[in-house]
Amino acid sequence: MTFLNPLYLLGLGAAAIPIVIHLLTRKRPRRIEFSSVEFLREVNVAQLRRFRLRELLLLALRVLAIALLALALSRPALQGALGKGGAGAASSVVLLIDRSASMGAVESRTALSERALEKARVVLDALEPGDEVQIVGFDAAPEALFPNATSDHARARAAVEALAPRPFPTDIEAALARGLDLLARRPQINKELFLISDLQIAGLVGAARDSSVRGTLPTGLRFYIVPVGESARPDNLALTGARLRGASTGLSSDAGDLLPSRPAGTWFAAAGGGAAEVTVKSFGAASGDVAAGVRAGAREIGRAFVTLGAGEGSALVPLSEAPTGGGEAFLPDDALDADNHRWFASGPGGRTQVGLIEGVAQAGSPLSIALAAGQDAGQVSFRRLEGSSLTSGALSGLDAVLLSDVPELPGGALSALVDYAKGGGSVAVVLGQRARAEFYGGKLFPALGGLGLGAARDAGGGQWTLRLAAQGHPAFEGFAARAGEPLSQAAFHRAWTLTPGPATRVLARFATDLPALVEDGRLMVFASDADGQWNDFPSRGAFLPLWLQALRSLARGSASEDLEPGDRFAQPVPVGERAPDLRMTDPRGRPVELTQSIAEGARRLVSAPLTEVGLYRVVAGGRPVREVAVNLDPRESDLARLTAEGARKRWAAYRPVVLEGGVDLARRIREGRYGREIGWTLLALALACLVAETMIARLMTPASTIGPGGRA
Amino acid sequence: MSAAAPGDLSRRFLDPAVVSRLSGLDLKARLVVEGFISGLHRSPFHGFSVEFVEHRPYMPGDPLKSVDWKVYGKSDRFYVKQYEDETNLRAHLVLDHSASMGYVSRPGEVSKLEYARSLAAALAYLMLHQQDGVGLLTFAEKVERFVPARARRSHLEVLLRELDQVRPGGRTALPASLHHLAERIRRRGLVVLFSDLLAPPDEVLSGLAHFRHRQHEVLVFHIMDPAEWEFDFDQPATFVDSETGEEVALEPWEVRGGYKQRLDAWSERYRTECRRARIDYVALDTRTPYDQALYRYLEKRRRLH
Repeated sequence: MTFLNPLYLLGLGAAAIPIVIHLLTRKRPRRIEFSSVEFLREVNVAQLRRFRLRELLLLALRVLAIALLALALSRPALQGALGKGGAGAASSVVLLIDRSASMGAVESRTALSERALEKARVVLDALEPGDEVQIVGFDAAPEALFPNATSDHARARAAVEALAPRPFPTDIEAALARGLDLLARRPQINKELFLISDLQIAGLVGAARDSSVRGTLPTGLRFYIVPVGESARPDNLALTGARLRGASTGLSSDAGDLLPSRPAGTWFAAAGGGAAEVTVKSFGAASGDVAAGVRAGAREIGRAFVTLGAGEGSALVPLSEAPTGGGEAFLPDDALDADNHRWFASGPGGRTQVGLIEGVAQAGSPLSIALAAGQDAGQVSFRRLEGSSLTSGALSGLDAVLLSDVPELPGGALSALVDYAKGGGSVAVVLGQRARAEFYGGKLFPALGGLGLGAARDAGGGQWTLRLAAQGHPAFEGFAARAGEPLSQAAFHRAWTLTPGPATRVLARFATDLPALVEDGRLMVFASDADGQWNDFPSRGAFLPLWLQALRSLARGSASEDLEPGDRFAQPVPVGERAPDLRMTDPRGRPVELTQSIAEGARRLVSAPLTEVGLYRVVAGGRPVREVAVNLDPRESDLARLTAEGARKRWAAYRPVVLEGGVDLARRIREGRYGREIGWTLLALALACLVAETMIARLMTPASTIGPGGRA
Repeated sequence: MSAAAPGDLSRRFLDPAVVSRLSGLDLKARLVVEGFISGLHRSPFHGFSVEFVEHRPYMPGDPLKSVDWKVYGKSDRFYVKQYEDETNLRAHLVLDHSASMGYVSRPGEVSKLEYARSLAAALAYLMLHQQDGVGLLTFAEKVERFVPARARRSHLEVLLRELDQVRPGGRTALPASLHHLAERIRRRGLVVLFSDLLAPPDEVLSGLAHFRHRQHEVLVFHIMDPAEWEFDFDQPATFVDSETGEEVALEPWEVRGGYKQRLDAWSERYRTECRRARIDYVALDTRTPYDQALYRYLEKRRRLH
């Protein structure tokens, strides 16, 4: 039994009132002289028991009536088999229907999304007239399809039919929280929450609620889990990366040094259009070679095999022509089609514009050589700037500014640089031996963030090596973290001491706990130098790709090059300049709204959330300036699922009922429903008690008039 | 408002509450009877006197002193005068003055004994004025006083003095007293019992039957306090028996029905058994006007003649 207004149970205490009144009103008998007690004695013996019984009966009925009234007000409801039969109470039903990308997976020639719809139809068919229903489609975020729960079941059916998988990852916990919140606000006694999903493990973002939430769950909740997947871990291959490589980069003889983690055996051939690097990841699929293709528009422009080593493999796909306007890599069909396509951007918009300020301008500095190589590879364009005469105009159009071995900047240049950074620009600093701590630690770093700077330190007799501290950061893409790999081969013997601020992210450290490369918002700082004075890094193979990737990732902010569905495209607008006349279109050519926003002193043009995968195009003044590739989150490709037992354990606090494939869903729903609210029945019983009390009081009370023959 | 007629005023004295405020039993008896007579259509004394009642032809054996010589002188025939004295009734008033007869439920009310005493005095007054002989027997645990029946008017004073002296007390010995009296009065007459009859009914009825066996007429005035009939107490109480001192604690509303049921059955048994034994049974309470009892007496008297 469940009580919907348990607070009213306190009213049970009022049941003691008749007892208290009874005890308080008992009078002390007085002595009365009477002519003869003969009749009284006889009556007393014969009738006293009867009237004591009557008194007890009346007291019991009064207590019972009040107790029943209190119980009725607390709205008790019978559940399970006890409550079956008769007209049940109305139900409030919330259907959480998974529409993440993984629901597009096909098993036994049926898409999971179609199975989910079938289950949803069964649930809707099991509704009684008067039941209300809310449909919540969920992927990365839950979305209630109706402003309020509806009793129009036809409308609910129509809404369910319109649900289709979207290219978003899954967050089941967020959906559950939303469903519970919706139900908690409904007054019905029967509250049913249906989770119709493939129960993808990758979608279990955040921890499940533990048993401590049990008390906060909506009263009368029944939680049904309806898994729609068949196997616990379907095989799946996914494209997790696709990007364009410049022709020179892809064809150079020392490509192995440039892309140190590329597996041996990667096949590529010389071609005029450069190459696209594709990365394929296997989720349970057998290792081997898989054919990957690239197309521009509808035309296939390259094909290659990717050898899957330890579940993952990359390959350069030579392209027969340059895919201006971006391209699409693809794999053969498998369980999930959504992750067999990946789009990449190209064209002029793909280059990162870098301004280089060096303390000692020299044509052959290692950094300038690296940037020149990146320029040749189509990754960056760079120009030299004078630190002493830096202005906002000189910084205009740059994606990033790199200061290397610069002692300090004059006040005007510092202001221009800070304005530039606040306007959305990125600043990279290689401190080097000439840097003045008071300028960087006292002026520039505080103006741009919370990074602190200490003194320069020596490695003593030994040397430091570079160690990755932020796995997966785009600056280190392709670098392995293992000792002996190119990144760790460089030897460092002197560096500045960087003190991370609250928002600072340490990307790499020296062998000790000394930060080597840190990121602090739009600022990136390297603690050693790039001239080979304090290390031998410039002579190592990792130097060039690390700096190119670091600058490109810094210019893009901390986000990856590809956006994910739901992200917004943002374009910084330099201070003092008019917002450019930008237009944006989605993969199907429809315009995307861009709005100007000002946040933290920086102006940006920000798009509406980009909800489709594919290539979005940005046009300025009628001229295409860049593409933005929006690709599926690779996490969604891992189709591993919770088993029924796993689901029961994870959500044990909700006492779930897992309704697997072979179960008669409609019957189980009917069986599990709460029965009726029995408040009215108890109220009727309370009234019956009062009526009985009145009747017993009247019928069992001794007659007050003398019977016939009492007097002549 | 017109002034009340003298008769109406005198009828006030049929109310026991009014009579109880008077002092002196003789006054009470006289006022009650006069008040009673004033409501009658004809005097109950008419035809009852020691004087001439009728003539009848002389029969051999009639005493010569009863021959009416004046009639002989006129008609030359012998007629004999008949006098009332020959038909006079001898009545015995039997008064129970056990402790229970002293019960009064509310202060200021008339006790059963007081009611019985006033009623007995009134009856004695009435009877003596009818030339009936009246005797008196009072008893409680035993027979206390016995006054033989006399028809002289001066006898009233004796009776009233005896009545005035009775006080409630002691346990009732009603059956024994009845048997005692039945054995004592030999001449056939009327026995009028004033009692609350709170004794074993079988024994009481046996005593009454004893009178009937002796050819006496019996009139029973069963006098109870209104509270004894109604039992209208409303507070829990411990009831103490006035004769035995026994205590019973109870809540009156709980036992009222059962009590009245038993009391009715008890009273009904007296009524039924008395009817069967040709005994007049009159249930009264201490608020009943005296004329009811007096009527019943006159009715009984008329039936006897």
